[in-house]
Amino acid sequence: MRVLYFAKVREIIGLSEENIDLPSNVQTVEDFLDHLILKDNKYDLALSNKETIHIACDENHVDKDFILNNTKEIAIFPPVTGG
Amino acid sequence: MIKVQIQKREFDPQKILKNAEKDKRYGALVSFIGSVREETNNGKIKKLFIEHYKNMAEKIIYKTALNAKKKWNLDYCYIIHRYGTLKAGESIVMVITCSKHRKESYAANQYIIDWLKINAPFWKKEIFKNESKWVEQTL
Repeated sequence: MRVLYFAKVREIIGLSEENIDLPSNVQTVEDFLDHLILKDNKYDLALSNKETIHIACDENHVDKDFILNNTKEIAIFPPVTGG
Repeated sequence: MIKVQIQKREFDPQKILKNAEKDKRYGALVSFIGSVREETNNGKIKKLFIEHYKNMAEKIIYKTALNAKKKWNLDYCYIIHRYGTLKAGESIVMVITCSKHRKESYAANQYIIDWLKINAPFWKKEIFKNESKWVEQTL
């Protein structure tokens, strides 16, 4: 799965994108965030305050209980501030 | 007609407005421009950096315009949004809505900019003399 990071999340993790194979125990967005948080301190720092983290799957906003099984691209970012 | 543009380079609101005014189908045109403020809550900025998620931003803005066109029967809807590094005073976003009568254009214009502010994937970072700060969402 292609994983994209934006804004503050991108800066803390130090990557704008990477490819991650979904482990078998990961089903939802929430599971995936937990998987990343355990991966490394940088991910923990960027993502542990989950209320401030927004998610888009294949370019659509989704909730944390969204099931990832057919997702090709997931974007992880703070609340948007355009306009 | 719906037109959505997301671009790095500066745009000229007067030129865009003039082009929109050429259309003779509508009796009302409402235009909104959002610009870079020199003084923010965090002080005087040197620059404003805008990051975006290109494909999703285009998709969301187009869909928002399409919803507004349908709901208020718009004749014309134009949205332009910039990304990259901007200076104080430069325009960030412009929304033009046109309809037969004014009420529809006003309502549609506000709907589009409000929806865009909470859904379109853009992130602003204020650059000051010695530091920089990501802008927090305010609704």
